[in-house]
Amino acid sequence: MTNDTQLLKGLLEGCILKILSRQESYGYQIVELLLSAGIETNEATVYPILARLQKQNALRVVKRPSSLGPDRKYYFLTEAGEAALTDFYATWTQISAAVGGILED
Amino acid sequence: MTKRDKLLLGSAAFLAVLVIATAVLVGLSAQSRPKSAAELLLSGGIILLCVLSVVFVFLTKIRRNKYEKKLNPEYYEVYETIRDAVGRFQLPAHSKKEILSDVLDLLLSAQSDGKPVSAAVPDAAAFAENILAVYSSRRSRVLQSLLDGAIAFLLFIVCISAVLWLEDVSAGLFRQRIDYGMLIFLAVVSFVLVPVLRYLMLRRSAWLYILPILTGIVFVAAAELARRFFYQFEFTRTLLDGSVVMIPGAAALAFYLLVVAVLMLAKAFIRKQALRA
Repeated sequence: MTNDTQLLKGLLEGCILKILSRQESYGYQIVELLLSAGIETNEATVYPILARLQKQNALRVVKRPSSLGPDRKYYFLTEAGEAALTDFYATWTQISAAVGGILED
Repeated sequence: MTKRDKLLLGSAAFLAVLVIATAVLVGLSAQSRPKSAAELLLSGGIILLCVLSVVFVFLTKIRRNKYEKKLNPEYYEVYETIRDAVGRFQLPAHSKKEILSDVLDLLLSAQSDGKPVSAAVPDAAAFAENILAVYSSRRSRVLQSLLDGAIAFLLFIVCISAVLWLEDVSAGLFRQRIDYGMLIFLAVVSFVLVPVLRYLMLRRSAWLYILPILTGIVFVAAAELARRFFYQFEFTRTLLDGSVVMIPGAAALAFYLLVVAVLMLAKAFIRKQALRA
């Protein structure tokens, strides 16, 4: 899977919301979790999505000291983020069922 | 120091030396007549500004903080591209600082994991553009660029009038004439060349260095061609040889400065709206 398909970019947002609904996390860790799940992505793709979600108030941020560099941002899901995740589930279920039906034909 | 740092510092120093040498040569050529206090002040000011400009370039563009120093050359090159791009974003200083801090954390984490920089950030310029797209719409960026152009154009007029006045104080500030050709050139620089150069800077294109010189050459060539082939038209003669007093009085000067202030406020307002959206 390449990381530059529009489809994947749209799905990444939902996946990031899901990851953050399970646990608080920081940018690099989110990238690693996505990679370990088989989604080929990178820091340059994930960071703008995190920034956009934060701007939309779907994520809350807490800064903590990091041993590597400047204070690290930890992301948490907000109520708006939970609502966005619910919307994503509904859309994804509908689309995946429809696409699955077509592909199985 | 990276190649880009050396080039930046070298260019700043070269430019400063050129301007200082010009100021000294002008001073020497006019040795026979006594110099006025304004002339001495202007020369001293120019030399001081030249020296300060090199220090400014070093402090703002080259000096690394303790975290930036941790990046290896490959990672630092990517970080530098993003930092330069973010520096030109129309964003509040604290937002820029936050973005760079996040990027630094991402890059340091990837580097410490032994990831190749191309895997973390395949295209630094595209990465910077994606971040910018989060914080402002294309429409607000175009609007801000137009306002920047208008501010630059007005300040160019005020500064050129002031320099012309300092060259001959007895003529008075409000009698200084600027050529129509120069006004057109300033408009081209403010509204077209500067925004294009900003884009080229982001892409680190070689055209960044060629385009300003090319623009100057094209402008002079166009003027000479117009003089050769279209000089019989009054419009061409006015354009090539005419001049105008752009600041005819104190009220005009105050108006210019007021407009600049209003445009800056408008820019800040658009920026705030874009951040909220």
